Amino acid sequence: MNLQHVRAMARKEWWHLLRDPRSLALMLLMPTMLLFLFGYAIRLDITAAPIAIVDESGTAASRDLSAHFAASHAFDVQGGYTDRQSVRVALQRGDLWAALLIPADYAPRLRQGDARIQLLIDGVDANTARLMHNYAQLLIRSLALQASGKTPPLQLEDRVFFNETRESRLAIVPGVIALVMAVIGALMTSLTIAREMELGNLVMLRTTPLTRNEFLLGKLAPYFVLGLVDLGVATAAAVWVFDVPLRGGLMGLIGVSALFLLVVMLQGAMISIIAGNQLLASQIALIQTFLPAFLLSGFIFAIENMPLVLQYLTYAVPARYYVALSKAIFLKGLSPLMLWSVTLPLVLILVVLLRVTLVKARRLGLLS
Amino acid sequence: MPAQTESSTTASAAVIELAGIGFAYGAQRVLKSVSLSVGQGEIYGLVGADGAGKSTLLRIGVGQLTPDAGSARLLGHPMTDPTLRHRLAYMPQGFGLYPDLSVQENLEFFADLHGLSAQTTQQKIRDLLGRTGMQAFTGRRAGQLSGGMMQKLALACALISEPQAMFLDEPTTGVDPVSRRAFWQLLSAVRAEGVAILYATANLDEAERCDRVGLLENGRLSRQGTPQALAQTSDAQALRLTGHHLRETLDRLRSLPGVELVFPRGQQATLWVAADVALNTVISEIKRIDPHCQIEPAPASLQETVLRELALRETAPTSPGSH
Repeated sequence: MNLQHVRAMARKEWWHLLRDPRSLALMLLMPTMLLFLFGYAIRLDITAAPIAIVDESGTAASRDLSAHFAASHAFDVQGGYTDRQSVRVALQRGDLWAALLIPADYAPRLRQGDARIQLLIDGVDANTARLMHNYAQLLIRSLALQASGKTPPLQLEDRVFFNETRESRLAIVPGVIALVMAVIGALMTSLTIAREMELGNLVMLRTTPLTRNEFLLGKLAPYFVLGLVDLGVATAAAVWVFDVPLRGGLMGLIGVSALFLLVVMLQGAMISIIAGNQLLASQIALIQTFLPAFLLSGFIFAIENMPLVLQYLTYAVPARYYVALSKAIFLKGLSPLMLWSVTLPLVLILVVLLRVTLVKARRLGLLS
Repeated sequence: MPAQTESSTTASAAVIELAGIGFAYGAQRVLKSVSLSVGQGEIYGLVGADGAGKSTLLRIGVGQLTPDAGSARLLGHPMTDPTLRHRLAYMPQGFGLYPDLSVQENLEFFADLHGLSAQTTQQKIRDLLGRTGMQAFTGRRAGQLSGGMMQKLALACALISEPQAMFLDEPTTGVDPVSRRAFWQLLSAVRAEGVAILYATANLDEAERCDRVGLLENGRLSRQGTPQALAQTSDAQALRLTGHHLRETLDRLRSLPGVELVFPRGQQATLWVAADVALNTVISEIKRIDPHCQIEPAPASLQETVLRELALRETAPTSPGSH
C-alpha cells in the first residue's frame, strides 16, 4: 500500500466534496434535518389531546371527574360542548379527538357502586386512539380508588428505569443517529465510485500504478471523517437540544459509531461498484440502507412485534445492532464491550462486507 | 527462456508491440489478428472509421482489456507487468480529467499517483505548463477550459510521469484547427524525446502527420506503411486542377473518358484518371473545356487516396464492371 496514492485519492475526494454544493448540503443539512424531523415529529406519546366533557349530571361528583381530566397533561379539555350532538359533529370535523359523556344518573349510581361513563374516541389514528383510551382508563381507575376510600388488596408499584418519564423522544433520538449515519455513509459513498466510472476517470486511473485497495481507502477516508463529524453534531443535538442523557462513555459511542459507519460505507461502496452509475446507485442505497435502517432496525417499530420472517430479516440489517447499541449507551450507560453479543455481529458483518467489497472491486480494473 | 530473451532483444527498437491481437465483445468480433509495432520516437497513426475497433485496440495496448488471441507487450514485457504503469501514458476519449479540480490539482494528482516527490512535481508542472502555454491557467478548473486547453492539460497529465509509450485515443476530436496544430507541435516535441506514440484517429489529414499509418477496417489492418507509401496507388493517376470556373465544369470533367473521380476543393480539384489512359489526351480534353485551367500532376495524398478508394467502393455495387 502506497500512502502517497491513498493521500492523493483522499485529497482529491475531499476537493470533490467541498466543491459540489449538493453533496456538501446533503452531508451537512441532512443529519440536522433528520434529527429535527424525527426528534420533533414522531411522538409515541400524547400530550394535550383535545377532549370535550359533556356533563349531564352537573353534580359535585361529576365536576370532580372533569377536574381530573383537566389536570392531566395528556388531555386538553375544550369548553363549549354541552350536548351529545355537537360533540359528534366536532369529532367528525376533527376539532375533538375524544369526548367524555357523564350521564345524568352518574352521582346516584356512583354511590350505589355502579356508575358508567362513556368515552367517544376518534379511532382514525389507531395508535393515538389506543393511547387516549389507556390514559383515560388510568385516570378513571385512580379516581375510582379514591372514591372507594380503601386500598385494594393488590397494587402494582412500577418504577421505570433509563427513561423515567417514558418519553418516546429519548428512545427515538439515538435511533435517528443510526439513520443519519446510514444516509451519510451509504448514500454518499454509493455516489462516489459510480461518479468516477460515469465520468470516465477510471479509464485513466487504470493505467496508473494506483491499486484498488489504495483507491477504496482514499475514496472512503473523507466520508469516514465527515461521518464522524455528523455523529458529533447529532450527539450534541441529542444531548443539548433534545435533552437525551448520554449516560455511557463517549468513547464507546464513537467506537460503535465508527464501526457502524464503516459497515454502511462498505455497503455504499459495493452498491456503487455494482451499479456503475450514480442514479441507480443512489436508488439502491436508499432501498438497501435507509429503508431497513428506518423500518427494520427497531428504531421506531419494535422488532419483537414484527412477524417472525421480518424478525429474522432484521438480523441482516446492520442498523438493528447499532440502534440497540446507541440506545443502550445513551440511556443505560452500558459499554459496547458489555454488549458484545450485539457488537460482535456488527464486527462480523463488517468482515464479510469488506471481503465481498474487495472481491467486487476487481471489476474496477485497477491493479490488485 | 532463451527464446523470450531473444524476442525482447530483437524487439528493443519496438516499444509498443501488438502481435496477432484478436478480440470480441460477446458474439461481435471487433479485432481479427491485428499486429503492429511502434518504435522509439515514432508516431503510429491507427486510422479507422468510428466503431472500427481503434479504442479497443488501444485499451488492449494499455492492458485494460485482455485479448482473446495474440499478445500485447511494452518494452518487451507483457502488459500484465505492473511496473509498466510508470512507463506508459494513456489519453482516453474525453480525456479522463477531473472537471472540478484545477489545472494544477489535476497535474498534482497524477504526479502523486506516479510517486513523484513534491519538489519534482512542482518542477515538472512548471515545465509542462510552460511547454503547453498554460501558465496563466493553473488555478482554473479543468471543466472551465476550452476543448483545446483541456486537450493540452490531458497531454500534460499524461507526460508528467515521463512515459516511454503513449496511447492517444482521438485526442483532437472536437478541437479547433488552431489548437489542433498546436497539439501536433507539442506531440512532435514529445516524439523527438524518443517516446513511442500510438495515435488513434478517424481524420486522414492527421494520419498524414504520423510516421507510419495502419488502416483498421473490418477488424483488420488492411494496410500499413508510411503515409507516402500508402498514398501511392498503382491503378490510377492524379491531376491537380486550379481554376476559377471549376465548379461550373465539374459535370463535364467527370464525364470525360478515362476520368474516375473528381474531388473539388475550393478553386482546386483532384482528378483521378485510370492508369491505362494517356494523361496527355485527358489534359487536352480538359483544356478544351476550360482553357484557363492550370493542370499539374498531383502528388497523391493519403487522404485523397483513401477517399478515392471509399468512393469507388461505394459506386462499385451499382455499376459492376465499370472499373
